Amino acid sequence: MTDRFDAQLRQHLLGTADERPAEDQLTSIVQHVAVTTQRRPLVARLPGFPVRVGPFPAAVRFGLIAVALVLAALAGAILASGGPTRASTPFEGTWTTIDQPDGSTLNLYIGAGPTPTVVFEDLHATGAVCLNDEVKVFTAEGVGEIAGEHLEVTFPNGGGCGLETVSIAGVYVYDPDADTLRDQDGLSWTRVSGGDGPPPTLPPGPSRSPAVFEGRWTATDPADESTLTLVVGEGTAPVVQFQDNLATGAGCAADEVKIFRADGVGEIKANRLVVTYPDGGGCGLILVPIGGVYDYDAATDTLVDADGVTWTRVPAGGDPTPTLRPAPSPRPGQTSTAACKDFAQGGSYTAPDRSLSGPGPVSLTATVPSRPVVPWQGLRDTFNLSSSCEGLAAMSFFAMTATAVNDGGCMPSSAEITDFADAIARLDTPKGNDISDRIDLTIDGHPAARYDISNLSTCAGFGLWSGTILGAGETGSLYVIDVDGVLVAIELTRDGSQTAAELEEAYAIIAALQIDR
Amino acid sequence: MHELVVRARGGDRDAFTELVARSIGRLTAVARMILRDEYAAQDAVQDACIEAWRSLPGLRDPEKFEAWMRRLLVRACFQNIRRTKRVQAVEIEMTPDHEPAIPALERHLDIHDQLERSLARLSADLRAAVVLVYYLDLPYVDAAQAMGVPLGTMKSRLNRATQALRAEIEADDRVASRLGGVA
Repeated sequence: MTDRFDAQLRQHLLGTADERPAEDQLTSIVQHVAVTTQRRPLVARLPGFPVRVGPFPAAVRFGLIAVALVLAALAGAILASGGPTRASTPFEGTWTTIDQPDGSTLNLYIGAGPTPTVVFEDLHATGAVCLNDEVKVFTAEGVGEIAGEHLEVTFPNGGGCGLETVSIAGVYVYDPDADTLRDQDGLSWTRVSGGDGPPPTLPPGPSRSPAVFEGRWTATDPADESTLTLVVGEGTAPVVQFQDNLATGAGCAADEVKIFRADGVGEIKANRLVVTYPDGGGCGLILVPIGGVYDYDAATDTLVDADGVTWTRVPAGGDPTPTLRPAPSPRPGQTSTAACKDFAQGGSYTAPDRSLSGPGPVSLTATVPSRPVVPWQGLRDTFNLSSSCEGLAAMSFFAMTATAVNDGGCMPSSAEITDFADAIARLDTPKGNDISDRIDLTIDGHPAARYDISNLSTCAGFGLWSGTILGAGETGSLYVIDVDGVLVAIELTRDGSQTAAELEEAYAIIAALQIDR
Repeated sequence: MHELVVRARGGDRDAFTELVARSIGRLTAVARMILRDEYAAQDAVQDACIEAWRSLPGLRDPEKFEAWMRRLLVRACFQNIRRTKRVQAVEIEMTPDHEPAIPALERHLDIHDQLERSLARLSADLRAAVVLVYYLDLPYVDAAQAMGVPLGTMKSRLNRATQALRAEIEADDRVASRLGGVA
């Protein structure tokens, strides 16, 4: 996977890397560690408030907060009853395991009875849905149904980190000999000592009346001293308006007025208000994705947001009563996030600007069928359709224009590609049971070729450019399309677990790509 | 390494100090490359190390310590960038010390100067992809895990980064060539 440029880049980085730690850097870290306690897996690190639960690996997190409440409720129940009581089902209690991909701690709280309430949490989620979240605790709340030694959990609202959620589900099989659970991903869950005592009580409802959030709040933006205003409507799902009276961000740079506004919908749980702004916010026509989390401090009657900024209440009567706009209507069935577009119900996906940079503008549009086998999601900033925007998707494909070929491994040397015939001649060269013969295609009237690779072993890398290239051990397909002299390379990468229907759907979407130049 | 991780996981601060001492040089180099700011890099390394200490009890497989540490560092770098953006919208200075203060006609940069300038112009997420793959020599899958993004996204970013770097260098060469012709 190295051509001359790659080698120069690597050499440059190795040659200029400064691996000398700064003076006293280690000492400073040691001093900090000396006064920092370790976070034990089941110890809550956030103030308590209601939680959600969810099941499987790359998914959940939100609330140590929840843990705190759950454990508090647990403790309360123990104290109130004078001691542990017998669980109503073997599932009831608190369970924990370690997420295989990233070593984070997963917890599961299962309530009493044959249809227990269930809370799932991942204390350190690394999936895409939690990328922009500071806390990175994924949580989900659900309802289980026990049949024999099977517990199947559905999470009606999915799970996530703060503002973004994804669909999840979980199946757990109880092993009476080992007193463990095994989930659909093969993870073994162990019971937390004491967890089979009192039935885990789910977090209580909001500990504060949602009315404490209602009204007008103000703060000063520490970045530029501008005045921030937040107007919160009534109820547990209030309409919310955010305004920055002198925004200095890039999204407002070209705007004359520089008043940044966003309309959103809040969700109040305990002492926390989480606001989503379905259309983002901005100055004029340029909108950027934003979100907001505000914790209420009863002692000072203030809000503290995720950035640590304190908001004070504007006394009633100081300003005219705000007229709130109607609540934005969430689009039904959409689970799109700031980073992803959802195509689980089908749709048309066009390559974002510049994501296919290269010689001459080429635009690709993929059409996902209305009832797809794969719940496709598309990245907003680059042409990339995948079975999940989260973590390592089981299957995804992406496209790039190509002017050079990988010349490492068994690929021919000489990086520059002259034309389509040259490109496929290079790709035709490597031979092995892991690389199929060329499959000739026509995509939107343009000559194209496809190669299917299974657990690549013949070469260290097979493909065009350093982007569209399958590495050793990878499985997938590589396409090259001749768009009137511009070469577009597409890599379909997959983990090998796909059904024939899923694979055929991916092939069909690529084969039906609309290409504009 | 395994033994040290196990001990540190159990709360042994000396063992953790030894782990940090072994890796701090490489971690700092990575942070410097991604952030291109000495103080921000030191902050990111410190944040990552303290977070590692706090969260270590949750790391079940000691063999994954280094990969886990890389992920914490990359995350700390991006958190640092977000904080910086909030405090001040500042373009990161493009290595002024390396900017050749010489007449335009003599500005034929060698490849290392060109790469240094071009890397500085990349966004941090693209630069992180380059650093993980080209400096740490991580397989794509490991680099994707370190950045917490899908494999395809990782590859896309790497491609965009290398395309941008090539394009910048080619543009520099064209300018140098034109200026040379005029001279």
